[in-house]
Amino acid sequence: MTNMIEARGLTHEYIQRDEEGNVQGIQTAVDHVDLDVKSGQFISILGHNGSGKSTLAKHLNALLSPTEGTLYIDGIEAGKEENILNIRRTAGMVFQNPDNQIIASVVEEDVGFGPENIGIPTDEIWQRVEKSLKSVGMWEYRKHSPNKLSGGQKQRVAIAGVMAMQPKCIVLDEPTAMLDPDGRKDVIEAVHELNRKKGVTIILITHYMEEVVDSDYVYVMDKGNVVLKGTPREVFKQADVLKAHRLDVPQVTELAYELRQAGVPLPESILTREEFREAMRELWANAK
Amino acid sequence: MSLVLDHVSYKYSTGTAYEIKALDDVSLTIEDGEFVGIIGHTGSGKSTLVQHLNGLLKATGGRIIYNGQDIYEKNYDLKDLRTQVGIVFQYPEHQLFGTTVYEDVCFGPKNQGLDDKEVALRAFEAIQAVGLPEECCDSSPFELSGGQKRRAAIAGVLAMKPAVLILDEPTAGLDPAGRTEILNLIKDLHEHHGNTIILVSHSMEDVANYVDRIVVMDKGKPLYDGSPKDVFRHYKELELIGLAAPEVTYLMHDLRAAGFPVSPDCTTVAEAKDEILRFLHENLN
Amino acid sequence: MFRDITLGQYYPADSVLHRLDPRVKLMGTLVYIIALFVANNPIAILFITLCLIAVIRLSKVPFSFMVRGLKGIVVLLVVAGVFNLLLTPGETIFSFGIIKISDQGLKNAALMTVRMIYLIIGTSLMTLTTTPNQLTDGLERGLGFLTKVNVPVHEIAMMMSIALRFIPILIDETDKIMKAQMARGACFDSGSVIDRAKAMVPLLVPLFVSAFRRANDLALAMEARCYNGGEGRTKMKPLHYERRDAIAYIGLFLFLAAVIVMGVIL
Repeated sequence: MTNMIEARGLTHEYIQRDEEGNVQGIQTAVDHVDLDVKSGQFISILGHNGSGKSTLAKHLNALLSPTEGTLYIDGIEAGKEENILNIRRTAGMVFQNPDNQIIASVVEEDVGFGPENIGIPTDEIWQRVEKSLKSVGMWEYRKHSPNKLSGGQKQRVAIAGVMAMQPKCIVLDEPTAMLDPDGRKDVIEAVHELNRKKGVTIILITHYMEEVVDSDYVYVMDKGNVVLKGTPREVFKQADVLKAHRLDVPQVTELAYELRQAGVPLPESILTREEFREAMRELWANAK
Repeated sequence: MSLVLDHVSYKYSTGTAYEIKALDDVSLTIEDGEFVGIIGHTGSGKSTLVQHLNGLLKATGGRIIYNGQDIYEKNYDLKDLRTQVGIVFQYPEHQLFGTTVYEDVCFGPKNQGLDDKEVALRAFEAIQAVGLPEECCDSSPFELSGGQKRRAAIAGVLAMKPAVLILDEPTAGLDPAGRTEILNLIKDLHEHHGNTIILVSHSMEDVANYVDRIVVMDKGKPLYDGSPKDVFRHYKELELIGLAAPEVTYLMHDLRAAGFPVSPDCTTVAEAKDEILRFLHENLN
Repeated sequence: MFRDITLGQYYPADSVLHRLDPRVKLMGTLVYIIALFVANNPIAILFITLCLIAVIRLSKVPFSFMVRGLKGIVVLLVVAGVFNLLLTPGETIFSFGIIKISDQGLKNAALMTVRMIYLIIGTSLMTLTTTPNQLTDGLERGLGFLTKVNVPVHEIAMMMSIALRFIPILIDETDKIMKAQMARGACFDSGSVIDRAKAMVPLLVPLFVSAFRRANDLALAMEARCYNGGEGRTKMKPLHYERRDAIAYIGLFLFLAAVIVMGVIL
């Protein structure tokens, strides 16, 4: 497997200047972050609001360039003017607010917007639009106005819009923060399906813990640093560390953690109901 | 002292083929000092319902009675009702407009026609009640962080000293710690300031953790109305209307199905913990 | 209260008129307006009326939709009509006190009213049968020659289509902010003019903030999808002239010629 994303000491500073252009203050939003994402992986980045995770995400799509450190997207070096379009074609991006990223007044035209921008011939645009809309289950809505869709549907249209550019990687910056539980589920399922069936590398940025459980690897960020990383199991083991960084664990994990604190010998890393049930069975059998 | 909805209906686009019944013959009583959660799928009518409670929307049928008075009566002062029944809308920070937080929070009490001294007093009290540091008073609301903006907006409603406080998805878009902080703030308002609270939410976990009574809305009608335990007993029916029970409730049902005779009526992590501990102690010494 | 506003009032139907290339329809509207002002006698007006009825029948749009646009200008029509009627000099055919109506005045008033009504009906017919997107596409292609004199035609068309997409969203947003401020005791519909203007501040500030936030988000989202201006872009729905478009152009030419001939001869 090749490296889709490789960051070494990636740093981003926002420089505030006064009216004469003198530096007033420097705010380090991303602070020497190392990131390794293999092709085809599903990666989650957790962090509270203002932890630097969105700033990091914008680098992966060349919307921001690193102040310091190196970043390679599929072998292309970020931070160089001539590579910008190439990086954006390799790594697509889906944003938080579904309304503010849909450009056209008809679903299919919005999905066609990206391919139009990169000069794809008309016939192929239509093929790509069809494929992308079908891959997120929104093909029946192709003639609809985005204003008539639910939040989750709009977000799936936005994902289709990115898919139509045939990227190798999709970065989703809190795609579910503004959705209701149903919409959240649909979007996360669609993303997992793209990862499984089309082999698209996924970087999911979120602060909903349940969405992270099925990822291959999790990074937890705070104050621009990666403070915790590992598989979901390894990360959720540390409920207290997550809470210290304004995060949480799924309810089932929380319950297991609480019971363990009360002296019940449950294993350390329970993520799902099934695992909890099995753990209880084992505990029961051992006790008898 | 209560808020009574008596056969309230609300229809959009009446008389056309597109007529939609957003509220369909709703009768509800909310007593003083209650902490009520309203849950429902998007489009179930829950937001429409709460906008009736302070007269922002006028029912197409039925009556609403606040403290014994019909709010649709001719001389009823709707502006006064709005100060007594305060609504914090979804993403309330989008309503901020003042050059300073203090100025923004003053907007409500000023509209009430209070004198300057009282306005200032209420503004400071409200800013304090939502837990914003005092130095925030003079900063622009647009310079605050997301969670602080939301507090400032809530202070803007609290400053009117409403007896009933309605919050529509107050935790949307916040991180887990931010969500807990806002919910604890609401709980504090209920416990220490005696507000009646109506919490509209998508999150079953939040509702289960905080409220005493849940009203489930579906297709413009209350489908269930009762304590979290009672309502989440219908978890299978709730799934049919796009809702669910808290994760721990499912877990307890799973455990029961797997042969552990625990009570499945737990709706919070704390209850589930106590129930499992009780069960283990009784059976394993 | 804002829900009643209809914008880009497209009426979906399957008619020849709907299928015409938007450039033809834009040109047609222009020709139609010229014809209306060239026509200065009853026969020419009658001819235009017949053509208009024929096109309306072709469009399959109910006639009531065309008339809707007229409601907004009734006052304007009446005022302009009265002015024309009373203030045009000529041979007096009717007088009552200081009010004098001349034959010329009567003729002008009638012609003007008919022109205005037909203008509204004709242009509504175009917007009713053309989606906003087709319209901007048509403008972009139709006015493409202006790029040679450095007019950013693509950018203007893009701005128009984005505006069309966001108008309903901003209307919705206005509604929400208004309700939120009303819940804080704000009043938007009473008091003096100055009071009302002041009351708009709590509405307009959040609305502008939100519009800028959306604009910023949208710009990022467009950049992320490799938008780089009009250069090197392809089209998902390129405009192609079909046979019916050629026929329509010929029809338009004949129509204009006929109106001019009638104007000259009669």
